[in-house]
Amino acid sequence: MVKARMSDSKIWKTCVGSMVNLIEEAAFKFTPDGIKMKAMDPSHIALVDLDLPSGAFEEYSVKESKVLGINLVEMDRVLSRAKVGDELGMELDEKQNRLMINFKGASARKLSLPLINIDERDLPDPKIPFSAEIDVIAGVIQDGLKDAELVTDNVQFLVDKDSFAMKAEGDKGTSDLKLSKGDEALVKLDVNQPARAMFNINYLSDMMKGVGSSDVVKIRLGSDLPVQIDFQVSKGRLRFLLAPRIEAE
Amino acid sequence: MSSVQWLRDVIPSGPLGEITKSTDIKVTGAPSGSLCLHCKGGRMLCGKISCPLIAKAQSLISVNLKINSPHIVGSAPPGVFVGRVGYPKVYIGPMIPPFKGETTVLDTPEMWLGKGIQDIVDYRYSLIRGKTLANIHDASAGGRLIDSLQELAMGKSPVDSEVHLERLPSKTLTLGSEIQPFGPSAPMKSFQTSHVSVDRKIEQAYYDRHLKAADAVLELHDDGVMVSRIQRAFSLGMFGTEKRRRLVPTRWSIIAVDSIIAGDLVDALKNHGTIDEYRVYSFKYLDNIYVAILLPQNWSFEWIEAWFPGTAWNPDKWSAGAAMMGDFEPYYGRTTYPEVGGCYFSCKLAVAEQLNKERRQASALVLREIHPGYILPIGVWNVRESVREMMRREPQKFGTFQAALECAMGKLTIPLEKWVTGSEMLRREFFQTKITEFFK
Repeated sequence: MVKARMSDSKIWKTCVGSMVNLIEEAAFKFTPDGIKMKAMDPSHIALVDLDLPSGAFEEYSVKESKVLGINLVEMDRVLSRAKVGDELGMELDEKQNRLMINFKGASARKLSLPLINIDERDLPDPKIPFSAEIDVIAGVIQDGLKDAELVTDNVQFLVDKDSFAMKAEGDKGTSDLKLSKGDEALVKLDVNQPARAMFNINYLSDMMKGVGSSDVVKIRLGSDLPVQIDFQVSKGRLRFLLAPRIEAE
Repeated sequence: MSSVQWLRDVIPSGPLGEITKSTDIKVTGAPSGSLCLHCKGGRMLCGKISCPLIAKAQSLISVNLKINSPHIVGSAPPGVFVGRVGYPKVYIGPMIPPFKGETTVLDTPEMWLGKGIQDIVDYRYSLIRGKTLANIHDASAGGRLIDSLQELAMGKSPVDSEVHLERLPSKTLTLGSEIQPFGPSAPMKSFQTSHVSVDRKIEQAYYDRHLKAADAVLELHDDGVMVSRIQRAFSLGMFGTEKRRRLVPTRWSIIAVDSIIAGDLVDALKNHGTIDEYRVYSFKYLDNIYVAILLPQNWSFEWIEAWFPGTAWNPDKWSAGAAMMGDFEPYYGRTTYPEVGGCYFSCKLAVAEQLNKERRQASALVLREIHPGYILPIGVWNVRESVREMMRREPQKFGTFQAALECAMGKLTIPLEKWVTGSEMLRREFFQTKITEFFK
């Protein structure tokens, strides 16, 4: 049996909404401890890693682990039917090979999604020697990306012990965003070693799309290393890793 | 409008020359100070290796030899056209040469690869267009003319036809080398054909009033119907659900059909594994050099054109270098219309077709250099058929990207640095790391 229920459908909707631009199909592992999913985008530039413990649900019962292949685009469509404040239920219909999605609010509604076959590939947890931790309000990063997008395709993240910056430079001009220690939007700045790395703006924007602008994101950086971006979702977390662009000077 | 003396002077003497003297060719589109007026086809001021205007004029004149009345009798290849000026009220009509015989080639770009520019211009100019004004909604409303044009569009072999025009067709030569050749035309009074033997597959789609247009296109392509045939019927609004049928200007229908088929082929190839090696394909035609590099990765696609100084889209022969234009799509496709235009879809169709035959996927970078010997643009079929031909050929295979790139650059004249600036795929390959590199 696979059955899960959360009081606010928005949590799951945000998760799916953040992933759907990077991966269209995903294999979710429903384990007795919670839901896990890890996948790379088709170009192998980004990694998505979702970890939602059973505690994030009001009701959660999974007797033995099951992998459910889901088309995220379809699931995102179904979830767009949820009303604000609707309760969300998910239940596997093994006979029909479907995932039932239930919304409970003013009325009780049921939608179902066919499951798909996905080649499951075990991906490792990359051990990346980050040198800086930055916790920041998501809206600031979203604004920085929108600025940078105007001038080029890539943005640099720079961090030293006093500040965090996003810089972009292209044929059409430059953009520059800076947060200094003490700024309200900069919740945490913990730097062992200054770092800089460059990333594709489209990927970053896709990752930041689902998150609320007042939420806090945890960013981990190292020079010419992937960036790790964590969002807290209920009692779990959604993690993105994005490989850097390394341009010879 | 004016008649041009120099054109008569430069057309070779003999029967052709004789006729020109009595034929009043009208010339339009020449801005004052136009290079053409100064050059007179003799000095090659535009930088091309031969004069596109003279090529057009020669065709026009040789067709004119055969037109001496507004009553045209000939074998339609069969061909039809739908104009775009005035949309949603557009000119439509049959295309008929002033002679009988096996005329299929005149309107079948699939048969043109390997022909010279003059041949292709000749094909285009030999088709006389009888024009009638129609509303795009007439496609579903029907009517005597639409019905017979739609029947003609389904034809699978040349049809004896007769067109009564209101006057002798205009012999207009448009100056400016970027204008695609289009044959003489005149308003039409009436038109008849003998019995049209229709393509059963197209006919079936035509009578299926529940089948969506895109699905009809895909089914016909799957069934092996030529792209040009699908486009012809598509332009006359012969596919789609009952009330949604519309006439579609020929140009748009070519793009629409290429894009529908290419999109479907790409969806299909994503189900297959990637190729095992780096590959390089190449092909030359009409002073165009095509090179494709296939990478053993999931699907992504880029098409870049480099127009050399003196070619249609880079007319200043003194400009610093080739003008480059290109568009890229990642795995999940584009959300905006490609800047390069319709040829993007023609190329994508050709590449995806081959990959599907092999049941494989890859990232494909296709580069095209257009040199001044390509004296006038002759349509996107050139890209579709050239890339198809290129992809049919045996590729050179390599174990590394570097080796493949070196081979590809050896076939092109523009240096790698230039391509890198213009190519998202090359920049990704050079500068963008993969997350798998950090899995150790």
